[in-house]
Amino acid sequence: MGSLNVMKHAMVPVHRLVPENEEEKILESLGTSKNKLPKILKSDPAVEQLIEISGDIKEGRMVEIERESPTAGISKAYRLVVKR
Amino acid sequence: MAQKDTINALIRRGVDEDTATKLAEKNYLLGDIQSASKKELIKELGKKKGEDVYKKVSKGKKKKKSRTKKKKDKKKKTKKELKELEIPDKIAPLGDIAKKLIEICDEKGHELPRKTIQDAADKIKEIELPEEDYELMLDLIMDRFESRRVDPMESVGIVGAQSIGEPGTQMTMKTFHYAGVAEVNVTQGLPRMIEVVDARKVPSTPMMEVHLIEEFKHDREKAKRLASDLEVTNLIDVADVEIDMADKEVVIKPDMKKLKSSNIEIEHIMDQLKGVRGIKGDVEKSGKTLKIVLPEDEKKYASLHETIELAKGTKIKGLDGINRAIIRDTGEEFIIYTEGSNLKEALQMELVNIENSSSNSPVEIYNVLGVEGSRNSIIKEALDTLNEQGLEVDVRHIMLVADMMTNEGDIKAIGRHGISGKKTSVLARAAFEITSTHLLRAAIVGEVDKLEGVTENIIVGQPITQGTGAIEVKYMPKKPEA
Repeated sequence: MGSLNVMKHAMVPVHRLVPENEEEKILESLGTSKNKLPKILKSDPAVEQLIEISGDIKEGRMVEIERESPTAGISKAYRLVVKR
Repeated sequence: MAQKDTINALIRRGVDEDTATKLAEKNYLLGDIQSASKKELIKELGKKKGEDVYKKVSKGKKKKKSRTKKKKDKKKKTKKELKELEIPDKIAPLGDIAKKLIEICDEKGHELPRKTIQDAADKIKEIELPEEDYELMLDLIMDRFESRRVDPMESVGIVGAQSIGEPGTQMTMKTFHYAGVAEVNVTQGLPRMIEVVDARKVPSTPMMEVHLIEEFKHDREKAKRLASDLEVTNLIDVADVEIDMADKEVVIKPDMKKLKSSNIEIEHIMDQLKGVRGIKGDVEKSGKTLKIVLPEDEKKYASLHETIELAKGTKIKGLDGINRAIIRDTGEEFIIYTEGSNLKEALQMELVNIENSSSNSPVEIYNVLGVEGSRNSIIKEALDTLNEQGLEVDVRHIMLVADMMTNEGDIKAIGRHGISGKKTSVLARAAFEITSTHLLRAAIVGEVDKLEGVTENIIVGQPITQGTGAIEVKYMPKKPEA
């Protein structure tokens, strides 16, 4: 991918890796379990970008996505990192 | 499941069960443990056990070492590169009034979306509402907000399908409309909508919108240069190619004006021609013309003909897939629209603004920018197509569609191969398409249908699990008092 930071693109919202000790709290507030979250592939360009920033990301970690929503302003979404 | 496999694999290698479970629970896979260093394992398990596991499981890791070394080299980046890597800050900060409103909301326990608060703040500014009325205003907003919320168990999917489907019937069945740019032909209306929702690999009219970097966005010359760099230029576009029958050679006479305007040098053409497979013989330069001289035994008419065709079609410059690039002056900046698209390579180009240049294909965006980008692209394309036809559909319905399409981390089409084919219920799938195949498969495999969805309950003649059917009544008889 070269030096292209996909998160700089206007269409890509900001992705952040959720620290492992905060995962449970977030899941509880959403009232759901990990495997019911939407998925994101480990090979996704945005995840690859995160890996480049913060080192390897194992499958089963959560990624927080800060979407700019036309109806809510900002909405936070979570995705589970999975291997294809 | 993967955890169980890991535990079993570790036990087979002689690790005791407790340790194996401990490792697996931390989401380590066998491969990770095998390639982990002694130190890492000791850190994870304590000294004695760590060494034990290392001895039993670890593989020779000389290969791994060289790989990690390479990674380290990569990590040494200059400051500028590091800055490129940072997670950008995208959200605009709130104004003073909005901050005040949030404070009041927090005090009263109101939960309002940021957009609503922002809108309220804008309105306050406009009508100059005194500060003591803020609370009342928020209370009223909250009342309305609550009453307009979607109720639990509301069938948002069905409502969404209706809300997109009904206006869809009014869309033009087949139009090729010139949207925005005069010269670029873009598929519109129903065919375009189907394309977006079907997640086609390549849309029927792929297009890119390329912006220039901030510095040069008013620079017509730079825009022209970028446009000519994007567009595929073949040799035949910039030169006359002929066969010299007397000497049995292919003669190329470049048009110097055209070369200059598109910034190509003759040497570059020579290099490109030499790189073409199938052109045998030497490329020679004499003055301002080029010659392809075939080897002695190939000097036949047929091979000359073959060579000239190859030479004519040789790409001199441009990105593959881009047939045309048109510059448009919006008054604020120059934007380049292209027929055909190659986003990945375009974003690597020097003059291209990587922040807002994009393609009209959600799948291409998925490959280059990831799922979330693609989700936004689906929303944008679907909404634009509907609005182009003068149809107003609430974004929320389209957002739901986009969420469903990107739920699994890749793009799934809506339809038999995508989402509808993934339904858990056999009856629901059979009711949709290719009935017999689904029923036959279900019979062979022995599928169980729990009758949880709408379709399958209608088929068996039961009330559906929506609305009043969503709740169940349980009767608990009082225990007779003894």
